[in-house]
Amino acid sequence: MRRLVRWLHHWGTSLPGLLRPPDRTTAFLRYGLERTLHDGAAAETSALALELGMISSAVADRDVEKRLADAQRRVTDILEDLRKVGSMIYPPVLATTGLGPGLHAVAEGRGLRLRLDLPSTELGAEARSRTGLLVADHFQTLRPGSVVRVRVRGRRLVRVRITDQQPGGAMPRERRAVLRCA
Amino acid sequence: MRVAIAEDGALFREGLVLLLEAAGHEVAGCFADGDALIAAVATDPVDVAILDIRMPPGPDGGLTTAERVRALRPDTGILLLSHYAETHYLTRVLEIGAERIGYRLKERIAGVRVLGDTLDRISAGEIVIEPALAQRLVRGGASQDGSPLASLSERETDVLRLMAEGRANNAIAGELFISAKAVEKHIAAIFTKLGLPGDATVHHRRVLAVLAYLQARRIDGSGG
Repeated sequence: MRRLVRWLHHWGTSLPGLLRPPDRTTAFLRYGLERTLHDGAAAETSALALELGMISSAVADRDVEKRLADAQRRVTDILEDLRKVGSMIYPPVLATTGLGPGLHAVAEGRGLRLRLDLPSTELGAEARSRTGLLVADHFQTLRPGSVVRVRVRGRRLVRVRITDQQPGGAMPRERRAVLRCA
Repeated sequence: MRVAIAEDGALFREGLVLLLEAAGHEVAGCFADGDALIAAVATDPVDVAILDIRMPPGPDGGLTTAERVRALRPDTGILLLSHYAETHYLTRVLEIGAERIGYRLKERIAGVRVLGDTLDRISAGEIVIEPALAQRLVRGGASQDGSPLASLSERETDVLRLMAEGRANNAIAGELFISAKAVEKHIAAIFTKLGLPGDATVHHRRVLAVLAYLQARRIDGSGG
């Protein structure tokens, strides 16, 4: 019995697992949410930081100046949190530039070492978005310092293979996904 | 200093105008997209153009507008602002130019002094990089196993971080309370330890070499 458990555990970690890609509606919704956050709360909080800076320049009282500096620091912390949330909803470089730079940016933010193998011809908008979110979401589950290889093939039927090795000599793991795109 | 702004967020745009005026600068024009700024700068040159990266035209219109400003008016300084500090945007910024250019987080220039310092440095021909991004690049590179960055002393790491922000020798010396001669010595040691090519005495080449090295290390660990 113990041998069977060991065998199942071994094959469970070495056989490729399947990842569930986000559907088209989810990808579109996530794009919209990040934009709302960026153009709404983040933009208004950045404007608030400017206003605090303006008030600070007109104040002569040391105590008030210190309190304004504290408030500005808190605003900066809030923006840092908004940045993290926004990046997880829809990575900004993926939104503005594309799949390769977008995934490199997410990997960098997570402290991962990425080897990326993409098709020679650029994917369509839907495939780029859904594939990018699928891989970026998986990156969020990996420990910093992990080495991760991502291979993407196909155009309408996109096949994704992610191999990762977490630091500390762990067994490499493989994940796969197939996306049917319009 | 005469400044033009292109930013699609009305609140931030208005706040920036007030802050620039409080800092004693003249706002020559204020626009909601890059095309309008280009049309204005073509007839009325400014010292520095401040551009939001994520604004029309296109998803990263600030970057394409910056390219057009640089082609149209090579002497105009460019400050790109963003809600995000990303090395991808930094790479794009450095492709546009290695002099009279800067990339900073929006909320980090929210003070008369810091905004004035950023614009002065750009106007003087320097590259200005968001300190939070420079720090992330240095830390990330140093945390990798076997990285030559780990062999740098604490002082050398501080100097490297300030170099990655685009700081000149005198500014680094002032920040760390050491002499300019000591800064030169640390920079020579950093270049030797990291095996960086190029002339460490030419400011912008030195900054580019350091940033290229750090970006390569951070992204796939293959740099150096």
